[in-house]
Amino acid sequence: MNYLEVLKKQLVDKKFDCEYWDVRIEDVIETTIDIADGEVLTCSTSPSLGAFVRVRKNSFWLYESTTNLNDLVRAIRDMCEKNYKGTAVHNYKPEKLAPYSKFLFIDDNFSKISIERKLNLIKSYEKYVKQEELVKSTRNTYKDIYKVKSFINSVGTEFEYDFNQAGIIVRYTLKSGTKTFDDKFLTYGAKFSDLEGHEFKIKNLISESINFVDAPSIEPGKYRVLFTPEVAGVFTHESFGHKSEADFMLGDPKAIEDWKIGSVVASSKLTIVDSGLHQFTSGYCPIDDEGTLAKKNYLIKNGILSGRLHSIDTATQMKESPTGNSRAMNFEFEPIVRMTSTYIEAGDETLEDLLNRSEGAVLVEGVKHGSGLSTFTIAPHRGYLIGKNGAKKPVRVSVVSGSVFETLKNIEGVSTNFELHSSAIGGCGKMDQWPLPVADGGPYILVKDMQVS
Amino acid sequence: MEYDFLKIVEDTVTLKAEGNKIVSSKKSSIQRNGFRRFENDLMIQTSSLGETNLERLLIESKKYGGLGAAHNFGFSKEVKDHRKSNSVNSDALESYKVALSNLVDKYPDFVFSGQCVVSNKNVFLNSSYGLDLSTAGGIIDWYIIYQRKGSGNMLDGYMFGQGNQNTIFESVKNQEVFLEGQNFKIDLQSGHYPVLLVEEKSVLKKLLESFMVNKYEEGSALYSGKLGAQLFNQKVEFYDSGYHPETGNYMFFDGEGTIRDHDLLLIKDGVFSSLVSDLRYANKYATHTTGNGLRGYNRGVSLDFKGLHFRKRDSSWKEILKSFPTCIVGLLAAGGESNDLGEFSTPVQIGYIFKNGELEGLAPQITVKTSIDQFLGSKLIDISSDGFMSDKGEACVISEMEVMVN
Repeated sequence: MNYLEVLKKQLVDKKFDCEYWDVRIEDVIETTIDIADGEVLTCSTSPSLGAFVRVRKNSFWLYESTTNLNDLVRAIRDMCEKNYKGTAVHNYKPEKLAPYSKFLFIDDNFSKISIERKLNLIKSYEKYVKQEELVKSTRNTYKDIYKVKSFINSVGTEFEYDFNQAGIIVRYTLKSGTKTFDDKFLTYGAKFSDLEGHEFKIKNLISESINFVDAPSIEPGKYRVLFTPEVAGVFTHESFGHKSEADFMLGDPKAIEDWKIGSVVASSKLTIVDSGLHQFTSGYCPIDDEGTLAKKNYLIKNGILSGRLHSIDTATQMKESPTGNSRAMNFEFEPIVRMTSTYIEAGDETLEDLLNRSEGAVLVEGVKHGSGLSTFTIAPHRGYLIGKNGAKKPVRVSVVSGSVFETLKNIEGVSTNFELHSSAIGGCGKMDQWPLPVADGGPYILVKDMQVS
Repeated sequence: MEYDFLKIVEDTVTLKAEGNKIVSSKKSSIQRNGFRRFENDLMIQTSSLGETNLERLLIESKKYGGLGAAHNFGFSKEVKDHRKSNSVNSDALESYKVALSNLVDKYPDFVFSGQCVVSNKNVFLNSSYGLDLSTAGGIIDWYIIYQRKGSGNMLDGYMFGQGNQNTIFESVKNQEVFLEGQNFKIDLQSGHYPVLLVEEKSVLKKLLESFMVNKYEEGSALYSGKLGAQLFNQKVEFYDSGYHPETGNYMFFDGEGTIRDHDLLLIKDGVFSSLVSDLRYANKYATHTTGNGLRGYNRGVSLDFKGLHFRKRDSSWKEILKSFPTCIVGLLAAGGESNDLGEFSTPVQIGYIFKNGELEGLAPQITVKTSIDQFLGSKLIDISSDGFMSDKGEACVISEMEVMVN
């Protein structure tokens, strides 16, 4: 069904007693398959359809999420009758956008692939992993989503676009004697063929994981750390991406002054970008949930603070421009300032050169999770102590952490190669909105003075 | 054909604060439906949102249900049980507003944000094989984060509360001491100190895996083969919660309709006492279900806990800290991780130093390291008789850890 037409039919030319309103419909179909030790626990497809309605009256936001799409006029009217009085002094004035419609996946999305094919693929990986003698248990997940968003607001903006992604996680526990090691293989695709044919990569990863079963734990302390592109992406997201979300600065003029655009905040080797323009990634968001078009936003350019991530509200309050980063997790939530695809741009040093001058550093690979506060964290899957000429010795690392304010100045090297990593399983969490699809990436980066334990 | 139908109806109102102001109010009333059809030893599952009926669910199940999963482990016993605990009303939202406004007036050097959610839920589980279950309850869930103006931090501290009583004013009052403690920064040398982590579940990760009957029986859990063994200090009694509506835990049945309203003792006097199971694994490993087959409306059943707690002991956490010249309370220690040996470390983003039980001020940025064996065994100091924020909260574990100043 065309839900933009549903919205227009109900709401175009309607007058409401408020300063502003908008409605976003999300039509979603998701498949989840979960297999533990060969047993299928979940194998189902879930459709969902709902609307999020926003009304601004007396400088105050009123929201309602509903599954009743025939009742949107009532929802707006009810909210217009509320007597809340906001204290915001700024106006909310989105610009009217030309009608926007972009469907990349109409004929080729995951809802059109049979569930049998999806199940067979993940079962084949399960069988493959089980061939390794040390694999004691497995838990494998397939997840896909096809989503169509439709939006209309009181200034006359209307948009619709689709989003399509899938991912597989193959998790396994290795055991030798009394020692165990957990690891996982992850892959992502915007089309089904992206998910197929990963047996060789899985085999290589298991061979590598086996080296960790008897690996010692790292001696806790300060180390130079070499991040792979995947970890560099999470580092970027956690260390500076969250810090760039402008809603954290509201009400604090001193923080705005201290973090003035143009300040030196990082090593001159560092350039960080956020952009929703990257098609076929989990950070794809061509237009945000308020109707602001995506663009390439430099957060740091050659070490200089160059931008922030904004909604219309935060941009208005800070007298800056919206950046297309106002995003909601689904139809049950209001848009808030979020990242899209966040990454460090490639540098000028080859990986070989970087490795050669990394003796004594810890190379970290794979990410279990990360967190982004004043002290950000990354929990890697695998760590290596780097010896002479780039030789690597496996070591168990629980957490790598550092101060947001210091670490960006401690970047010693940035490699030429660049990867943008997507994930369809998990995502970014902020407040109660988790998981939101984002992508992150970068080159290999070498950072000094990181706490490793 | 057999079937079951899980229906969750939730009404919520959320008030959100940003930059010292209440900026929005959100209303939501959503019905979530999870439907499972059992045919030819297969379980075929589907889900939907909004009002529905059996006929529609059957049609959707045929359209979206897919191949299904093997089902050869029977059903829960036929049972009828309907319970209703107190719902919560929106008075809490007004209290939250006033509490926030008071904090803004009293502490002009800080910026306050956060949200208060008032939620009432009705959960129904009906089946063709004799389940007729329902439960209802409400919960108030709120937090206020504060940033010192100009600190540049995303948060310098927070207050929080959860339960089915409006205790916002009392809780804020109890937690103001930590806001005031922000004014003093205390030096600390790296070393070994008693540490209380307000949220300590991530330390327990490898232990929690060991309670899962499948991980345990496959031999891939840290404590596989140790059931009945003395793992920890005798002071440790650890259980999975039963039915405690007064704390907001009003689920007395799991996603398969197994009723367990009593607490399940997992560790008794330091001894590994029990595993958790659902119907699938009970059948596979010739044991019984413990009512831990939890299930979201759009997910299959998976083994999980209903609510983990340490049994309270004799002294309050403040009394326990009094015996030590220097202790650390980690109010926020996010992003920590255990390795496969059960060793755990985490940065402490917001930590306070207590000297002989008195709050002295903010700790520097530190990383703490322990292991599950040390945390509940050789380095355990005590388990409190009270919760960190209130008497009714969960008991706190105080244990000596290696502390590294970053």
